[in-house]
Amino acid sequence: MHFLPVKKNQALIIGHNDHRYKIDLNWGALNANFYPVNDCHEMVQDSRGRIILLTNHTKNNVIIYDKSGNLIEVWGTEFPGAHGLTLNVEEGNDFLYIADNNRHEVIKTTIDGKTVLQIPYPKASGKYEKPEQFVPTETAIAPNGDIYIADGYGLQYILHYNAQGNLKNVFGGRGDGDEYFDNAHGICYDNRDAKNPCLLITARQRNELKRFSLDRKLLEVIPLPGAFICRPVIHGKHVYLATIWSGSGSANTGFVSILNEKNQLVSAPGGSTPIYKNGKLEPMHQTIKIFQHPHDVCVDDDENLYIAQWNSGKTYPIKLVRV
Amino acid sequence: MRSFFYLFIFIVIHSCTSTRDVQDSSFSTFAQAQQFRLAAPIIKAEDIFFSKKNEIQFLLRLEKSKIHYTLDGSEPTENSPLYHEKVVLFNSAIVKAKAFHPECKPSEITTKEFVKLGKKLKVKNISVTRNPHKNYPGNGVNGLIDRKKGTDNFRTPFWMGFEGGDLETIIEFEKEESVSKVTASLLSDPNAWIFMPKTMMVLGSKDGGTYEILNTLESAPTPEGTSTSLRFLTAEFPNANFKFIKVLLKSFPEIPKWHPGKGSPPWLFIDEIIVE
Repeated sequence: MHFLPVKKNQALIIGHNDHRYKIDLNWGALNANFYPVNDCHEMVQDSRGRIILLTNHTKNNVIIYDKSGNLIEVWGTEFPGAHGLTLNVEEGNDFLYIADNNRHEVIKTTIDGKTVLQIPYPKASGKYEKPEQFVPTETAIAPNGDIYIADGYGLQYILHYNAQGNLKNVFGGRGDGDEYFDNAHGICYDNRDAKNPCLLITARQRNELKRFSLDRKLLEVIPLPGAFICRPVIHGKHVYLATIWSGSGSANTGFVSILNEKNQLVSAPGGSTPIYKNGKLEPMHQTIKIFQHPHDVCVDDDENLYIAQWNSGKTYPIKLVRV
Repeated sequence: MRSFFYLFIFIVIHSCTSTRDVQDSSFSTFAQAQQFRLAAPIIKAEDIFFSKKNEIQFLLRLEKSKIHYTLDGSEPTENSPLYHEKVVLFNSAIVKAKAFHPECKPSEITTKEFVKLGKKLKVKNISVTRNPHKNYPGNGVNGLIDRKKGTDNFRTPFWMGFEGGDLETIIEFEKEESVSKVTASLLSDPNAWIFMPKTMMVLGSKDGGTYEILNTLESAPTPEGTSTSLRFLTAEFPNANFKFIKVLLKSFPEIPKWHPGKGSPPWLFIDEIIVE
């Protein structure tokens, strides 16, 4: 006579409020002898619905899957520091922007890997003396094609270029005030309020998301205490943020953060129940040991999530299927 | 004929639902209940050190989870007291907590030691024989006697970090004090190559010239699988009057063999020395 406290075949469901998910640990797992990964840094979905993974393994820097996790194709052997991946549709064609923190540059490619633009270290800014100081982690592309680069592992500047890669402006940098950064790890173009588009930029070590106007003025600091957020990803009215560490920042304590249209944390799959007291978020921490070091969230057209992880035993992404 | 039609519809609908059921249960790619471990609960308090009483709280903030705890250093089980509101300590205690959940494996145990302290002795001067690593300066040498405890994150500025070797600290009191206990507050974090020292020797002196050994503690090498924790080494000895107390911490010469850093010198992290 067996007594089971829990029904067999009961999928674990994580998350809070309207954002709850089942966990598919096997999604996208490939034979590592043929298609290896090191860190799975970032993921995006392209116009054809395919899921594109960027890893810093130079055997195949870009791995392209269908939504079920079947391999479609791989390319890329020249991105040893492949870190940031942003997709932009330009005149009907998908382009990728890869921030490489080993090559100290941002590379724009076609969807099948042909380089069309390289943006080296921003000498013209007057802030940099040598390429090694420029360690870009992320890009964001405005509707007019302007390129924003976050130098998250370098001098903490946000660099604003036109579509041809000519420097227009610089802001941010290291410093104590709210308008400065400590690990400006991720950036995105936020057009949820179509009349007032802005930039969302993470200050990961400070557990903060910062909102800047397009003319570089700090609009708002959104504190997410205990959440070391990597990059903001906008889907619909929500912001999704892989949270690489939590609590006091010890290893293997990651989860996923989801903010609503008011930039309040409404769901934290793998993390503690978000609670606001007097308008302030209670410090967040991991609750279930599912994720090690989430580094990016890709939200597909079915609102399922793909979680790419840094330094997590060379594992492939984890898919969260919305319930 | 009509009833046959309804029967037919019923069968179709029913077979559809049951097919979906079968698909759902065979769709085993989804992670199941009991597959994951809970994260260890957080033990929260105003401070690790206290003089009269100390209120502590446990938290995980996960629906359906429960936290059981002990105050005597024993391993908590589901039979240990269930936490529902804050617990008040009146004495030093080794507090342990473990989280349980119907759909997850129980957590690892969180341990936190709380120390009740007597009155603070007036210190004239404190010195260390070597400077900490530039990345881990702590709050300077006076931070060692501010009775403020670091967190278990070695990057927080409470911790002074030393790579290998010995650390000698000399505390000079304003006047001779009756002393019987010296506690070193340390960090054990093998993942970060931070280990407990091999020996702690406490010496006392009236003139700052000749010292007598008051007590020596020996620690065993850190076993594999040890998680990060705040640790205390307490040397007790018969009451005696001294103006100077010297604390000598000697690290193990090498990181243990089971560790990826084997053969390298271990780090020593200290945030407080308490003389009572």
